[in-house]
Amino acid sequence: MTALLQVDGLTYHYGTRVAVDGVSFEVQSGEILALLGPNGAGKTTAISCLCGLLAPRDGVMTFEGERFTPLETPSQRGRLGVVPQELALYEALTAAENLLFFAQLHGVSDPESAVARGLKLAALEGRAGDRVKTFSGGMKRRLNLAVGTLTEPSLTLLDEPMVGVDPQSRNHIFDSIENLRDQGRGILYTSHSMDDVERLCDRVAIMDHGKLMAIGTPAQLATEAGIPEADLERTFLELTGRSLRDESS
Amino acid sequence: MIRNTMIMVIKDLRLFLRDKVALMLAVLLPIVLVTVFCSIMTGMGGGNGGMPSIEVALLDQDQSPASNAFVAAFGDMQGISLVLAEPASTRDDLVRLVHDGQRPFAVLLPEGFAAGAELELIRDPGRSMSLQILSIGLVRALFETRGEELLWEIQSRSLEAAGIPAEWTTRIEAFTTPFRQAMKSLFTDAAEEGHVSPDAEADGEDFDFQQFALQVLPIQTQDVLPSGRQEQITYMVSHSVSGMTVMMIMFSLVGFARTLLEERKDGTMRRLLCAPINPLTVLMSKFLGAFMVGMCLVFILFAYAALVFDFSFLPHWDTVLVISLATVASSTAFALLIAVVSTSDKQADGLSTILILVMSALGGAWMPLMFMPEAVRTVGQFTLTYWSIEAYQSVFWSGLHWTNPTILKDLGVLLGLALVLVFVAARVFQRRRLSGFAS
Repeated sequence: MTALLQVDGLTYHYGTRVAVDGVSFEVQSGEILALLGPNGAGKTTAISCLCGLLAPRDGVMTFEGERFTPLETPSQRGRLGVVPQELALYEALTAAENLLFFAQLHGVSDPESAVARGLKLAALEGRAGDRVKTFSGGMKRRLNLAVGTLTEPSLTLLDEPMVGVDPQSRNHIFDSIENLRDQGRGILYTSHSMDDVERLCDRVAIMDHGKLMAIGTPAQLATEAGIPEADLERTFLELTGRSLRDESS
Repeated sequence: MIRNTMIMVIKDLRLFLRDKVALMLAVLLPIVLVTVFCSIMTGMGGGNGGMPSIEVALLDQDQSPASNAFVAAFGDMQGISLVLAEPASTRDDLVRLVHDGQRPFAVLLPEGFAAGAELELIRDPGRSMSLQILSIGLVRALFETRGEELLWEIQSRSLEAAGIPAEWTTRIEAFTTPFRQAMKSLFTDAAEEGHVSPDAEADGEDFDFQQFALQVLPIQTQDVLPSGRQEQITYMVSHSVSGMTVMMIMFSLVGFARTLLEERKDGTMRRLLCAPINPLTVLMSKFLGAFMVGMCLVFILFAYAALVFDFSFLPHWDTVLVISLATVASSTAFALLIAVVSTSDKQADGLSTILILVMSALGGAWMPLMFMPEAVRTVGQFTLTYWSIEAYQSVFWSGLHWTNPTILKDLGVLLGLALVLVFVAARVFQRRRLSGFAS
């Protein structure tokens, strides 16, 4: 089966520092792949290469069977959904205005419908006309997810989408992501929360020092790490060590 | 690209208009500064052509009709503001006033002034430019008060200064006195026959020293008022409005362009650059949005100046529009470059404040460059404020049309600067984008 996204030997350097070192993985349609790693492991840099924010020094990316060079090819950038870690929203605009702006920018053919769809996904139909700065953290996170999936992309990159979210909003976002998977869409998900990853993700890729340490289902990784039961946190610590990581990515 | 640019411009303008505090500051602050500067420069319509008045303390110890006439003539001179000292004051009081910096100049009319005693000027020698204006005022007042006696006094002092012995001067006076008396008699006869006004001759009223000097000196003069200049406008009003507008536009536009930094900080830049658009669209939309805001601000400031300072720009609307387009384009390009090269709000604030203030000072936004040293005037030509103010003054003061080569040159420089600054901003933006400034 052809992978939705295929990444082979992805490499990126910040000056002389190797941030991503020959990383390879793939994401299938209808699959949620978690990208785990301590701070500075290279997760965000890898995602930035996929978004078209950074030019990889080496490696090949293939998306839906085509060579994927989003930095050089603007039209390819719109094919991915991106949900950044920051609440990348205009606080002085309303929820509907944020959705409409990004829908128009992505050239969505029916922006009004996309706005209605986004409001529904974020469960903000009743607050469509309210400015984002009046929203709670959970509402903003839901809207952040809705903006990232406005174009109904076949692959969405979710970078820490649950930061600062109350349990209700967290549950809503879980449901939304699972719904996307059930529609046959692929998800690349980064998080530091092992609980979130265990609940959502089909497979897990663990990065450290820019390299891919292991990839597989949580059970497979536990077996590889010699952990008797599928405990993702223990597996993660076994593979990446217990030393503190204070460097930024 | 145009469609995406317009989508982003609408978004930026909507954000700008919704920030009420920033909006009020962007409009009110320039208005306050234009008001303050225009008021300072013009003495709130003092009618002296915009020159600040020189304060002079005066003590009249003579209290004679001649000294009263001198005080009246001296006080009437434009640019001089007389502050009469108490009659009980002394010369030492005047010296103290100047010494303590309370007044730059003091004039003492001693007892016997009417009989020819010398007046005394007590001065701060550092006020050389004011001193020149003051000297003209003193000479004029003395002429108006002492008339022909002063002429002979000047003549005898000149002879003495040239080394002529005192007894020779007496001899010269002896044979010129009958001539002067004959001249006086001639004037009396002429007055009786109606050739000259005896009243004007006698009390000095309506006597215009400047006009008289120009008549008797071998100088031909012709007054040429530029056809487009309004009579009521003064140089300093037009200069203050132009200078403050140019300076405040730059501050406001930097504020608008700084949204680039905010978008980097809040992550929306990441989202924009992940969209299927040319990344330079982001920059173009900032340019266009800031440009529109800048044009609105120019209109608001000129309209305000028109209401408060009788500064009507409507007779030259086409030239003002063309100059404003070039000024706002270059200022927007400058603001964009500041926003692109800065990596934080503090950097942008510091950099823009320093550059705008320096450019405003050197470019003549605060004070006309004609009052500044030659070196400053030369350096000033490397600022965009200089070219904007030159262009505005060419229309407001000289009444030139934008097709005049003088203004075309200013426009060429401003548009050239705009192109260069936008090009550099685009290069820096692209380089920073590729190095991951939004990742």
